[in-house]
Amino acid sequence: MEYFEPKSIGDALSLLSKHGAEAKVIAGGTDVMVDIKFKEEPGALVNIKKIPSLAGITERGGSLRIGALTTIRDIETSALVREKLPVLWDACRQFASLQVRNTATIGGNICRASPSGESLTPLLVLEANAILAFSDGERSEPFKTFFQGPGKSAAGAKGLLTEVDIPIPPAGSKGVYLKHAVRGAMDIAMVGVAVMLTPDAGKNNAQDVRIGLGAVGPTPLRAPKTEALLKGKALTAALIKEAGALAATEASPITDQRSSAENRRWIVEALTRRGLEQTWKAATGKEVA
Amino acid sequence: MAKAEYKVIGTSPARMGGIDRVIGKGVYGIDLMLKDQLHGAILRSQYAHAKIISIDTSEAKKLPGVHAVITAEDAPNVRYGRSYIDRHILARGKVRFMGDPVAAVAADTLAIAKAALKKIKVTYEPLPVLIDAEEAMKPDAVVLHDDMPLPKNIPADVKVRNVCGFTQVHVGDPDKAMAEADLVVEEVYETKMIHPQYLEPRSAAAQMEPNGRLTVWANAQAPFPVRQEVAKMLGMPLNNVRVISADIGGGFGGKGSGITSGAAIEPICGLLAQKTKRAVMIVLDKAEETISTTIRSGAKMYIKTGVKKDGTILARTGKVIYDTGGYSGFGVQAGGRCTNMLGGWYLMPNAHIDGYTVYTNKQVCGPVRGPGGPQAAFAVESHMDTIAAKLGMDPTEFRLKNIPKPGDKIIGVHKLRDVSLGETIKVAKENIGWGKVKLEKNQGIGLATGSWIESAGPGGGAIVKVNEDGSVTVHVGKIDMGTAPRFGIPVIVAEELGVPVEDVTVLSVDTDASPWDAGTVGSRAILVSGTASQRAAIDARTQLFKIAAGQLEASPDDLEIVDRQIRVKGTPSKTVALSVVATNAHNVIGEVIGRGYCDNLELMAEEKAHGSSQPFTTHACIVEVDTMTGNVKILKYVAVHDIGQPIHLAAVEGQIEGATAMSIGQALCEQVVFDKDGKTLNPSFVDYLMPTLNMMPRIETTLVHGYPGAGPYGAKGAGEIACVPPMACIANAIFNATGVRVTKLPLSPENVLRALKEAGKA
Ligand SMILES: Cc1cc2nc3c(=O)[nH]c(=O)nc-3n(C[C@H](O)[C@H](O)[C@H](O)COP(=O)(O)OP(=O)(O)OC[C@H]3O[C@@H](n4cnc5c(N)ncnc54)[C@H](O)[C@@H]3O)c2cc1C
Repeated sequence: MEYFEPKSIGDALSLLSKHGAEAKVIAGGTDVMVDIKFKEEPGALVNIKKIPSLAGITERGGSLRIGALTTIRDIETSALVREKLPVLWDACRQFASLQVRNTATIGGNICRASPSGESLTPLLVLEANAILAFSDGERSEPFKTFFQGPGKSAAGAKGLLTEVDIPIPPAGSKGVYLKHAVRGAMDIAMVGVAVMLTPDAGKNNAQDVRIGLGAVGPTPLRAPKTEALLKGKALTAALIKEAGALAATEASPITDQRSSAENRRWIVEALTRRGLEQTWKAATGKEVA
Repeated sequence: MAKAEYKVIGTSPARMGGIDRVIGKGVYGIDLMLKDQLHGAILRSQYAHAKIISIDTSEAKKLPGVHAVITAEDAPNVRYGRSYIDRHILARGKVRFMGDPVAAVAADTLAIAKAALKKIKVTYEPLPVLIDAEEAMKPDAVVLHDDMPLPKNIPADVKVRNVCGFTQVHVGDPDKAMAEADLVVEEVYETKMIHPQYLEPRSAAAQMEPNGRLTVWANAQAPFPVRQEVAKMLGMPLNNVRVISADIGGGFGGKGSGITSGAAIEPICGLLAQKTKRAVMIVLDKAEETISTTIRSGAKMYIKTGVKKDGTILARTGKVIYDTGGYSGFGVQAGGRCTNMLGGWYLMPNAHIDGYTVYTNKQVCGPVRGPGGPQAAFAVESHMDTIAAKLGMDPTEFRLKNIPKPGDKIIGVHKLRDVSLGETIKVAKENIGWGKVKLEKNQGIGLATGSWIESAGPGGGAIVKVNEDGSVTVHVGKIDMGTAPRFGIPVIVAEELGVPVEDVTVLSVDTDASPWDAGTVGSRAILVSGTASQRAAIDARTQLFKIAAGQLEASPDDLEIVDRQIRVKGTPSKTVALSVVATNAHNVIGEVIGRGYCDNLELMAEEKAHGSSQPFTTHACIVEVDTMTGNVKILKYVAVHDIGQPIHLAAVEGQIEGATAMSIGQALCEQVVFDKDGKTLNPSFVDYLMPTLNMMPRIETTLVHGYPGAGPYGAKGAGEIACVPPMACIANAIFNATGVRVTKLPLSPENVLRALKEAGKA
C-alpha cells in the first residue's frame, strides 16, 4: 500500500486521478481503518488531513458552511450549529463515543454513504448541498441526489468533498433526530429519524414538515407522502398517528442481524410520531391535541 | 460465627497484583516472548457441516517463512472429550461447525502464517446443517456423529437422534398431582447462545525442551486437565508435559480447555512446537474467539406446574432441550444441571423432567459461569410470576409459601442444611421498596430468586512455605482470574499465620510444582483451595510452634502468632519473631512446609449427615419500558445473597456484581446470531452487543449472614450464583410494567416490542 499526504486539494485530486479505483481517501479514518483491518487494503491511501482550510464552521449568506474535515465533536459543541441547525446538532451528540466523535469527520460520514450514518438524514431534511471538487472543477450537488446506494455517492472514486453548504432554516423552525439502538449512541442505528417542522406565523399550523429516514433503505430517505399529508395542518394526535403509519410505508428496510425489516417499520412509525410531537411542541409551544 | 472473631477474614485488603493489572503492568500469556518464537495460526472450517474430501497443504508448505503445516494426519488418531470422547485435535473426516479447526501453520510472522492458511486447499462435501436443537433431535435428522451412540439411560421408546446426554428427574406421582391441581400453567421458554467475551484473548505457547519434554504456557482455567489432554493428543507420557499458567484476563468458564475439550488450542500449539522444534505461540483474535471457542448454550425449556388455589405447588413437569453444539464439550453436565434446576429450588413433591443434550452444528458448550443455571432460572422464575398472576397472588407471597425448611429436600438435593431463601426474598423486597415505591406509567417491579450447587467434587491440596523472613509462599492448583487465589487465599493464610496479608504470595500454577487440581470452575476455588490453604497454614503453624516452644520454654499448645511474633498466650513479654523461628528451622527441618487438603470424602460425609448448605439469592429491580420502541431501562437493581462467611468482602461483592452484569447482558442484548448455514453473523464487538455502562444500573449488593457453608470459616462459592436470577428478574419487571410475558431472550427492544404488539399493547 502506498501512502500520500497531499498538501492541497489539487494535489489530492491528481493522486485520485492517477490511482483511480485503487486509491482511497482517508480523513478521520474511523471507517477506513476498520475496513483495512477487516476487509481489504487499498493500493494507495490518500490522507487529506494535511490540506489546510478544509475544517471549520462559518456562516455565509443564509447558509452555514461546514468544512469536510470538521469533526463530529466540533459540530456537537458549536453554539452556531446548536442554534441554527438543531436537527444536525441532535444527530452529532448521539454519534458513537467521545473518542470517535473527536476523530470522525462529517466529510467521512457523508462519503461513507452508509444508510445509517448519523448526519445524513439531518442533511437531507435541511436540504443541504455537497460541495465537490473534481479535477475538472467544482460542483454543488444536493444531498437528495448525492447518495446513490450503500457506500456509493456522487463524489465517486475521483471526487473530493470539500464543504457542506446548509441553508439555514427559517427562524422558529425546530428539528430533532431520534436514534433507535439497543445501547444508545455506541451502536449503529437500527433506525434514525430526523424531523424538522416550521410553524406558520401564528404558530397554528405546520407550514413545512420534513422527515428523513435512516437505515431503512439503500440510502437515507425522505418521506414525501407523509410530509405532504402534514403540510399546512395543525398537528393532532390522530393526524400524527396517521403520519407515523404512512411513514412506515415509505421506508424500504431490510432484515439483518440488527433488526428485522418488520421491526424497522414499527420503529419508523414510533419515532416519526415522537419526532412530530416533539417538534410541534417546540415550535408552537403547544401539546399535541 | 461473629465477624469479630477474625483478624482479616471478611475484610477487603488490596488484591495481590491488582494495581499492576489496573495500570497495565500485568503480564499475560500474550506478553510472553520466547526465544526464536514462531507464530501459529489455525485454519477454521468454512462449513458448519461437511465431509472433508481432501486437504492439500503443499502450496502452503512452499511459502517462504513457513515452518510447519499440520492436519489431523500429523497427530495420533485419538479423540478427547469429557463425557463423549468425540473430538480430534484437528478435524478428521468431517467438520461440525464453522470454526472447527482443520489445519494449523507455524511461520516466522503472523502475516506469513495467515497467508499460508489461505494456500491450504480443502475440498469439502457440504452436508445438511442443523442449527436448531429441537430439529436436530428429530428421528429423521441427519446424524452428526456416526459412531456416537445414544446415551444408555434414554428410554427405549424415545425415538431421537443426535442426543449425547439424557437426564431424567422423577419424584412422586406428577400425573396424579397435576390432575388434582386447581390451576395448571404451561409455558415454553428459550434462551440463546452467548459468548463469555473475556477481554484477554485465548493464547497458548509451547516449546520442546532439549530433554524432550514439552512446556506449554496456557491461559486456561484448568492447567492439569490441559496437561493430561496435551499428553494424550500428542502421544506423550504425562510426565513429559509441563503446563505453566499464564495470568488470565477473564475466563468466565470460557477458557475451560481440558475440562471441555471445547476450544483446546494447547494441543495444536504443542503439535506445532513438536514438528518445528521451535517455540510457537498462538493468539486468537476476537472474531476467531467468537466463532470457535466455548460458549453458554441456548436452551429450550417446556415447563408445566400444577398449584392449589392457596399457592401450594403440587407438581412440575417439563422438558429441556440443551444445545451442546458440534461436540459434547460440557453440554452433558450443563444440560443435566439445567434439567435438575428446571425443578426449581422450592418444595416440589412431584416432578417429571426429561433433559436432552443435543448436538448441532454450532460452537461447543463450555462450563460458562453457572452452566445450565441461568437458563433454567429464566424459565423457572418467569414461570413463578406467571402462575402468581393467574392465582392473583403477590409473587413474593407465592414464593414464600413454597420455601423449603432446613432438612427438606429439593430437586437434585437430598437434604438441605440451612435455607436462606426466604430471608433473601424478604431483604430484597425491603431494599427495592416492594409495595412501597411509586411506579410511574410503563414502570414495573420484578424479583427472581436463585440457587447454585454447593456439593462434593474433586478435592485439592495446598502447600504453605514459611520463608526465613517470615513471609509466606503458597502453592495451590487453582489459577487466578479475579477469584480466590489472589483475593481470598492470602487472607486465609494471613489469618492463620498472624502475618499481614501482603506477606503472602500465591504462586501461579505450574504442573511441575503445584498440587493437582481439577480447575478453577464451579465456584469451587474457595471451597477447595481455600480449605486446603487454611489447613496447610495450620500445619505450618504447628511446625513453627514446635520449633519455637524450646526457645520460649513453653508448650507448643500455649503459643500464638500475632503481628509476625510468636508469643506465649497470656504472657506477651515472652515472644520470638516469626522470622527467627523460620530461620532456625534451617537447622532443624530445613524449611517449614505446611500441607493441607480439601478432602472430598469428608465433604460427602458432612453433606450426608447434615445436608447441603446451598447458597441462595434474590434479585429485584425496577424497569421502565418504552412501549413504542421496546427499549427497557433498568432504574434500580438490588442483589441479595447468602454466600456464607465472606472471606474477602470486596472480592465477593465484585463477583456478585460481575456475574449480575454478565446476565444483565444476556437479558437485554447479548446473543450469538447465526444464519441458516451456521455462520456467525456477529463475530465482532460492533454487532455482538455487550452491555455498555449506560445500560448498567448500580448493583446494590447485600449479604445475609448466619448460614455457614462447607468452605473455610463457613464460606460458600460466590462466583456463579449471581448469574442465575437476573434474566427472570428483568422479565418479571417487564411483565409487571406491561402485563406482557416475554419468553425468549434477549429482552431486546425488538423482542419486547414484538411481544407487546402480539398482545395488542403497542
Ligand atoms: C466505534 C465506532 C463507532 C461508530 N459509531 C458511529 C455512529 O454512531 N454513527 C455514525 O454515523 N457512524 C459511526 N461510526 C462510523 C464512522 O465513525 C463515521 O462514519 C465517521 O463519520 C467517518 O468519518 P472519518 O473521518 O473517520 O472517515 P474515514 O474513515 O476517513 O472515511 C470514510 C469514507 O469517506 C471517504 N472520505 C472521507 N473524507 C472524504 C472527503 N472529504 N471526500 C471524499 N471522500 C472522503 C473515505 O474514502 C471513506 O470511504 C462509528 C465508527 C466506529 C469505529
